[in-house]
Amino acid sequence: MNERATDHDSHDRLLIAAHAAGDAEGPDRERAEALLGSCAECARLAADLRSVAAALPSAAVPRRPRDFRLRLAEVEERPAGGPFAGLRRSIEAFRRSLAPVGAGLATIGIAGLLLAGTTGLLGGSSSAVLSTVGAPVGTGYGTSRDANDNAAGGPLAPGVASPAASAASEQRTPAATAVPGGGQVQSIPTPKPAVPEKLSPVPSPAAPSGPPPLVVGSVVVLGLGVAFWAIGRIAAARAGPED
Amino acid sequence: MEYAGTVEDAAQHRDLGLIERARGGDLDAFNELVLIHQDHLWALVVRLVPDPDQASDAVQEAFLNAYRNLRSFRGGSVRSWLGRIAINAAMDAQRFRKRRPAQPYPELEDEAWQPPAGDDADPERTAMATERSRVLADALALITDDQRTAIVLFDVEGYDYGEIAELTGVSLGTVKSRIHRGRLALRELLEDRIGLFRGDAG
Repeated sequence: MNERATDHDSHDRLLIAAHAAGDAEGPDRERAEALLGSCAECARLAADLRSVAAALPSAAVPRRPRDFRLRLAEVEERPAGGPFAGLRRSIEAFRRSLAPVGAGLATIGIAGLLLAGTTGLLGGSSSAVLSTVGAPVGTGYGTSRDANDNAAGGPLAPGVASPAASAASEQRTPAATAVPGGGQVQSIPTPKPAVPEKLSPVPSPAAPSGPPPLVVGSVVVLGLGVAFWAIGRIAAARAGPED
Repeated sequence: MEYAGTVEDAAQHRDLGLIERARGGDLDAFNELVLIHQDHLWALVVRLVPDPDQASDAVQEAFLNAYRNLRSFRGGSVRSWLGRIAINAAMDAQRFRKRRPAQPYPELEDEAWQPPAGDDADPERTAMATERSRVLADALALITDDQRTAIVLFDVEGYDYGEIAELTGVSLGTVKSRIHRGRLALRELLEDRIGLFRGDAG
């Protein structure tokens, strides 16, 4: 018991703690007992550990802050327990969190539809699409029906002559021209006006045949949003006072 | 000893009767159990969860869980059954506390604390005992949750290593290690006041 404190610092304190608790066995116990016999600090540590452990039941506790008796309303308003109570509560919480997500999705969907409306996509007119991409009106981009209508001079704005329709009309006109005096002169075949390639009334084989993707996407997002919002609101209403 | 056993038997008999009535939907009977055991459960939980607000919530949750799971009571000691439910609620609160750290024991206010009742009338010794219980509570609040749980269950509640391993879901070796390290940590925290403890244990 005459070792200096500096030696004690290098001693195995955990071993002393195990021995003080009666948990050191075999060689560990022998090592611990050797230390306790040779190091006064180790012996004091062991005694302190036992004293502190013995005093633990007397550690102060704060006063009980309330009466914990259960109220009938408290028992009834909370969801019943059971092995899956935690899981059920998590699912309910997830459902409730869907309401704001749904509202956000619905907003995005409405914004998409408004954008489509502004750019004319909602009416299904190919002209609006083309105008947005800077192509000439009536070139047949869009549905094949649009292309045919355009070729026949169909749904174009008044006073706007479709070059393509003009070309087709010229092709149908006989190559004779009446002249004053009843005679006919053989007309010299007039050269067909050059039709720009991109004004061809024939739709491209790759052209989409349904509503534009922006419209479809917006409707889907809006639908999901409304569904999520409804699920969230129902879950929140069911949870009631807990929120 | 025989007298103590008789008292214990009578208490157990009373508790079982209350459980039976509570199972039939009698909330008043259950609340009689709450009145009987709430001090014990509070002392147990607040030692495991040093924040009094969180400890209070955990005790409330424990009683609610007990009420909801009356069917799971398989006999034996009602006090132990409630204790185990409270320990689980306290460990849930500890996990919650790790995510949202809270203030440990607040500043000690004399009126808010209950020093252990002493059979010692000597004012000087009483003051010393009170001081010791307070510094010990302070130190206990500062060690890790795992160490505190193992120490409180072993040194205060009297569970054995195997029961603590089962309750906390760790191995026997881990339980022992937590107790040894926790006691060393307490000894270190109490370094300046260790004189209060010397000569206390044989």
